[in-house]
Amino acid sequence: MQTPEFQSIPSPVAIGRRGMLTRCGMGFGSLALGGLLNSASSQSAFGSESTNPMLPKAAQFPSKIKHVIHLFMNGGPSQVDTFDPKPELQRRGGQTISDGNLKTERPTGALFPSPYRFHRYGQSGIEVSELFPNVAQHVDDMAIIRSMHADVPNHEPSLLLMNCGEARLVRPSMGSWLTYGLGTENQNLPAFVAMCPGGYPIQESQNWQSGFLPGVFQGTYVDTKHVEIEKLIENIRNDRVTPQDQSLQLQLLQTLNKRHLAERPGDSQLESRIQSFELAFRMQTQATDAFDISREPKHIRDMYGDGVQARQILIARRLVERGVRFVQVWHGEGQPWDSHDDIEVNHRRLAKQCDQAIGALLTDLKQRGLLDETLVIWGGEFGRTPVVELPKKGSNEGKINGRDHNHWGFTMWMAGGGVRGGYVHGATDEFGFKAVEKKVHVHDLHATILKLIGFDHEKFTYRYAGRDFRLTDVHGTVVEELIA
Amino acid sequence: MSYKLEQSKSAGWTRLLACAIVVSVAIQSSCARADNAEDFFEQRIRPMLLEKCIECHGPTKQENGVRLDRRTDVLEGKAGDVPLINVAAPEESRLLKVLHYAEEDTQMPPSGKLENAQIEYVREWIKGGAVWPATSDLEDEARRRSERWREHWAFIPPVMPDLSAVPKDENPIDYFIKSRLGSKNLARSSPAPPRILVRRLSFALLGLPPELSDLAAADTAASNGTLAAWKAEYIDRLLASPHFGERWGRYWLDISRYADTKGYVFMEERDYPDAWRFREWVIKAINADMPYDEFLKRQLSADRMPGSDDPAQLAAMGYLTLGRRFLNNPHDIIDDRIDVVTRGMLGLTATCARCHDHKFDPIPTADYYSLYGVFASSDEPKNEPSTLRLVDRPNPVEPVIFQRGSPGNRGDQVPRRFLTALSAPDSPKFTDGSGRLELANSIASRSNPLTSRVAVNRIWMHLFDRGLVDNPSDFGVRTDPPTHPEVLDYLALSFMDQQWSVKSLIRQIVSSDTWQQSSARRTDAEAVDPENRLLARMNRMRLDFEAQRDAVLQVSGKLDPTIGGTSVDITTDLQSGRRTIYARIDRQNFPGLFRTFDVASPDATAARRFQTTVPQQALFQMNSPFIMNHAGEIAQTTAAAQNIADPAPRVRLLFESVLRREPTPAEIVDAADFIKQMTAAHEISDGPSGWSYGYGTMDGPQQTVTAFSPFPILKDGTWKGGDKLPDEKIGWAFLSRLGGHPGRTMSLCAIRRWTADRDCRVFLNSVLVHAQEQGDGVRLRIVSPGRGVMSDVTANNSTQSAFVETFEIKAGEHIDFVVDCRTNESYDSFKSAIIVTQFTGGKDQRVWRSQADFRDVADAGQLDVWSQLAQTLLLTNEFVFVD
Repeated sequence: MQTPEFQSIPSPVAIGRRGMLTRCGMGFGSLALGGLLNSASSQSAFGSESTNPMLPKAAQFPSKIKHVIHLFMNGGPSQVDTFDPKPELQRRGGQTISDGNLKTERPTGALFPSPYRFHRYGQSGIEVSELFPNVAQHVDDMAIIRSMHADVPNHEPSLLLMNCGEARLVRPSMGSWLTYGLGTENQNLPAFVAMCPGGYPIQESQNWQSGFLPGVFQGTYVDTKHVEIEKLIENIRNDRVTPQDQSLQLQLLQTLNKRHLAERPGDSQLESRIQSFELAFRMQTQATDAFDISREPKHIRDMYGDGVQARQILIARRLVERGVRFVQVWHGEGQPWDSHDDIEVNHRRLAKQCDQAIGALLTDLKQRGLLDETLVIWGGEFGRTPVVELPKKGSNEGKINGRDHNHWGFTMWMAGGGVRGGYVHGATDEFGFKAVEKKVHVHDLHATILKLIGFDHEKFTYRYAGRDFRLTDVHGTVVEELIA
Repeated sequence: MSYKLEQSKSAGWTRLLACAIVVSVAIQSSCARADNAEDFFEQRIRPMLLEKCIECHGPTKQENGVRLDRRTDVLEGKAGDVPLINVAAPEESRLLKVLHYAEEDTQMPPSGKLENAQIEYVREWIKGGAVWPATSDLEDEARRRSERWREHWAFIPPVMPDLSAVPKDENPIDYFIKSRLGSKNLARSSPAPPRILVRRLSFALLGLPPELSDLAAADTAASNGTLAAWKAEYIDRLLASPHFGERWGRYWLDISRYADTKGYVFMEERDYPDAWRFREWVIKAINADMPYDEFLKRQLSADRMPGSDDPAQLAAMGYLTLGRRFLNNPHDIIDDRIDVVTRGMLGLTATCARCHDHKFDPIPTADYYSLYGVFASSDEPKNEPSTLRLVDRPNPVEPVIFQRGSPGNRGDQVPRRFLTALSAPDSPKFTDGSGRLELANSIASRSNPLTSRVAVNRIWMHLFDRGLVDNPSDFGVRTDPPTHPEVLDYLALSFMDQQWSVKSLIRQIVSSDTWQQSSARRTDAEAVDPENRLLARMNRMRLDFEAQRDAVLQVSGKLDPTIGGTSVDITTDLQSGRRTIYARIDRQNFPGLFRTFDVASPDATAARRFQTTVPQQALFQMNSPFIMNHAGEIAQTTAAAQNIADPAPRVRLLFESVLRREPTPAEIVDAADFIKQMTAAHEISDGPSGWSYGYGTMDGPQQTVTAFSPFPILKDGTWKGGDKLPDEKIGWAFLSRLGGHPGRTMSLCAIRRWTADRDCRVFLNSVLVHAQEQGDGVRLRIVSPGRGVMSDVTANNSTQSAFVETFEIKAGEHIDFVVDCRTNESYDSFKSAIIVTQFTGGKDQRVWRSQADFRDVADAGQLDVWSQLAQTLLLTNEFVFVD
């Protein structure tokens, strides 16, 4: 559908990060205008640069990683049933912990062994439970952090902590920080996409908020329950003007705009708005293409499997392949992994929904040479207790077969560019309750992720309300062992 | 939670210098070694202590009891039980250990480890006996440093500049701006042409495009020499318009982080049902030109002022009460209120002082908790006519400092009082109830050096696109002085002299030659002043989201001029002609549309918006039903000028409606070409293309559809005969995304019609599902006028497919997918999916899918040629920029 007119648009020019951050930091593209007025020589190339904060920028230091896929198992998957085997827990099932249970959200009882079996995988021989046989094939590319910990055993603050580095106050999410710092490689797609089928997770769109950063850095929410592109991206389609008509409209528009500009030479605000229409015109076809998995060959679709998880995880690959910076894939609306009861059935069902697709994602990224430049992160906002949750009136009455929230210790894993594969970091206690060895707080994880991507978390800042803010606030230590 | 870690890390003997005025001490190793021990102290140790330590360990503060500005305190002092300095065993000195960051808990300075060379100097100094000349106390120097902020321009009360040299008939603004320009050998630009000025004024004061009559009147006035008088009258008229309050009220809603919802809530009502009453109050107050000091006071303490029994007046306190609720955490709610008051009204950032003394500005933690006490002593009464108000608690809270911001870690008690840096040394603490009224009086006070300046600067910023001070909500010590200090002080003082009248201030600014000058490029000035801070020309400004949307409504004749009222969700109610200030703002899930267009985040006070240009803005302009609907309206209003032979008259009318001017000859040619080209293309494929939904008669003998009527109603995603099913006239017939139901006879078949948008070849593929044991099933026939019945299948509790091999079809011709009920309409719900694969030669292929393409927006219909032209004009830079 592209007319010759629109094929000849120059691609955006990358500029130094320092210059860009200054502009974004000040937040007002127009401030940069003055400097640009003098560079009349390359107006069109520089036009949108002054006001489009999404142009690609280099990180603070070199990094192979260009994209992040964050697979968010919201609700909190149980570590002792997935990636943190505990023989002592299996042996002493039904017994109580002599020192008493750590305090979590709800009353808990005796040790509750995992109903699943663990097997060793890969050259590293890392143990993974039967819930994730496909993911397990990739352990040699994964760094498994068994010593994660957070601050409180509640969903809301823990979700915000995991996403924004702050449990209560309004702060930008990690994806917003990254798009602020790196821009994006494909101007025809949103830079930061948050996918969640069926509706929002708990805490809703605050999980991908831009906080005090400009609104353009906020994640674009996509409800992957839908398959129609116009329900996925706002205003991407026009049923009332054909593409042919629209290109005629834009030709006339640009004629009028260029005449207007000629009378107002050197104004880069005008120039960048002219360019934004050309970008938007291309975006219509490219975004449609990116979200349409029917364009994948059958063997690829088969590899990911059926269902909404498979679809959205495959979309995630299509997006990073096209240069999207940060893709967050939520398991589903609300808090699907929150197995306060019937954990055996529920965790099995949930893992079955995504294991094949996650395994396929890692295989697929690797085959395409994308795994080196993509950081894949897996985990929830916290884990679950190794002790059974006691029944409570009104919620899990009559059941003693689930686990409570657990912020004391849980597991996350990372794979891909720059991550040390086949590596287990840290450990929980003998039952899997509390992180005890090489503890990694969420702030430490953030510091490490930023380091992997090329930022010093203490120097990656944004000045707001009189302070220089960071994703890690005043916390965080890089876990060097996780970095290859 | 987040404070916990910070706390444990600093559990040691001291903390957060952080506050250091960070001037890095360059240690030049090439420097000759000091001759003797005293010189060594003076050159190596003293500067380091002053720069890095004394702010937290000096005369004003002695964190953890450690003091480093006086000889004896250092040489004999202890941190915990360990001597700071141990000359006998230098490595045992606690000072050295913490500098080395050797300890887990205590690492000094906390802002960053000293350079190794600096630490080595300290070691050397201790080894050398820690010589500290008896004459060398740092105390005085330290005190002087801690008072440095007093010299900051914003804390010095404004001074009326010397106006004696200003000619009688010259606006002092122009005088001062001209002087600065003159010093750079520059002059102001010529006045903007009358029409440009009228447009500028209309958008600046009302946020709406100018009336055609005013544009014409300005021309007339210019030609008969009465322009100056006409402008003055026009400005007064705009200031008196009730739309003025809508434009300027929105700026204040940004400051007050207005939203209609509470943010994330758990099992609680999400909305603030009365939020709009605050907006109402703001608009009215601004329209009435309520003195700005009263305007501020009422928002903090309307409960203690005249009218305190009037809910409409009490709504002013929505300024405090309409913030995010943070799951009802009282400390965060109060923090939000402190922020909206200090940044919003004073231009000071105070909330960093929640955890530690402000790093740069003179706002100690104690001040934060003094304000905390004021708000903690104010309650929101339940079950009141006004849900926005606060009242004083009978027993006010005596606040204590929460160390590191942690309520569990209580420190010294502090009085409720105003910020110490803005108070006289002996100012009394607040004693009147919560102290809110006293706080309001302290802020809205002539003696406050900030309030008036902050207000004036923001008004200037909205009018010029850039403030005299570049940080509209941070006048702290790190903010540069204004570009024109005389202008800021002159306006700040005359603003107060004129009873804090916002309208008078705006009148004075927009009446100035400076504001009325041309925005045309000035290459001579660019060399000297690339950012146009000296104002050798006017800045060209882009309309904000509100003005853009309101302008579309205005030019399409759909603007609803009603002032005030409840909020409307403009993202879903596309029919609403309400001005954008009345848009419902959901703080928790802030609509993508607002983010795309840089609308201020409702989470924190915002004096200035970001200005980004991203393709999502263009997508909205190109594809949103809102823009297209209004383009259609505009085209409608010009329909009378339609003349097949000559498009020029209607083109003229369209330009006049949208851009408020005559088109140039070249533009008429371009637009006429556009119309011709487009019409030619449409003639081939006139009429609708794609899917339409209706019912009609399938005539057996004729093998085709002999009558087709579109369903009149679209409701709940279903095209049908009326609001209710079955409809009186057409019974059960309906079509939805996934399927439908036929009517009871052969003249009430459910028909999905596909119309070709161009000459092409198509391949048809469809599935019909009838999944009920009862009844006799349904029949699908695929027919076209030219080809008759191409496929005929019946599904009865079964699934049937139908294909039609590739054939040619002309633009505008249609294909009908007709479902009938066979012999009776019982149990005849069906599902269907149709795929039309369209080949247009070459590689071009488009797939039409009945389910994915299903049109569930009622007003959708192809935009005609003239509407497309109107839309194009709405998209121009000319429409959204103001010269």
